[in-house]
Amino acid sequence: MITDTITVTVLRASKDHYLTNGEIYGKEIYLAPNQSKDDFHEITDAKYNKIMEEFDTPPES
Amino acid sequence: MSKSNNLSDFLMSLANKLRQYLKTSDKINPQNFEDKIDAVYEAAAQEAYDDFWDTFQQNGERTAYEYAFGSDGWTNDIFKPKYNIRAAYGNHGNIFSYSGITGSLKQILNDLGITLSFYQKEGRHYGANYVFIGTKFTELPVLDFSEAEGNIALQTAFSNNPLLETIEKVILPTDCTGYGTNTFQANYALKNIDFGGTIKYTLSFQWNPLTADSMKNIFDHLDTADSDSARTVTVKTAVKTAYNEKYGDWDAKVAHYSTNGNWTFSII
Repeated sequence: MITDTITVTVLRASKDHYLTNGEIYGKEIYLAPNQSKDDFHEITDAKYNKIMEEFDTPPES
Repeated sequence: MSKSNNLSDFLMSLANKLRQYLKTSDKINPQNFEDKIDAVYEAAAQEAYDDFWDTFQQNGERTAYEYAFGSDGWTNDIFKPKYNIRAAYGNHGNIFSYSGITGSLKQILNDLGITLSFYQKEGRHYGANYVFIGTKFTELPVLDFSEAEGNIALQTAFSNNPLLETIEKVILPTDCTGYGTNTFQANYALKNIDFGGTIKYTLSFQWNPLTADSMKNIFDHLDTADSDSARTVTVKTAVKTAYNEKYGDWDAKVAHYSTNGNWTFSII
């Protein structure tokens, strides 16, 4: 029997903030092995909501 | 129309007219006139239906369906295709974009006995972006996009559908980069989704209140091949919670796909 222990780095945003690397947004980020926590920074909820407004606006029909 | 004052002549004239429109030489008795008038109406309606749909769908040979059923001018009363819809991938693919048709497209097509399928015309490399953008559907059927190509193949394919709760199955393109952050954007009611094929690229479900089973289905279809670049699945916090409550192995699943496939998971 072979036992492996896999460690995943999880980043969790501070209250009223989101984490982002400019492409991914989240309150919790489970990093892939080749990602660094240094790639991510925090933005406020308000800033995140402003960014998401663009996604909620559908393209012209 | 006969101008005779003789009732018998009048009835004979009426019967002749009914035979003319029904294209029959059979005897028609006056007690059957009401039924025959209904038959004339139905025959005319059928002829109008056939004339329109034979032309619109080119007697079943039509393949260019871009924008065909888009805009709110299309409603359930009007959307009665006669032939299966076999749509060639196009430059934009807006087949049902902003359509006024409501309810379950799966049920509508089942009731009509019509199938919806997509294929790649030889020499082309297109997808189905915008195909279901801005619709009023509550449910979509099995959608086989395995032949879709291009870097926008399924971008915004399912975005901005406020009533959409279920997609029976999305069979993903075999090999293209064309789906991602906005494929399922702003579908605030989307709970149930099944995938076919392999999820190879970033997908975001940040707007979607998916069930635990849908999350399991996502896990089950993630690509586990080595990847140089990180790929991300984004889901709502409530989805992670629901998944863990039912299956209890969120951390193990995340660890597995982090290592096997270089997946990042973002909880939002």
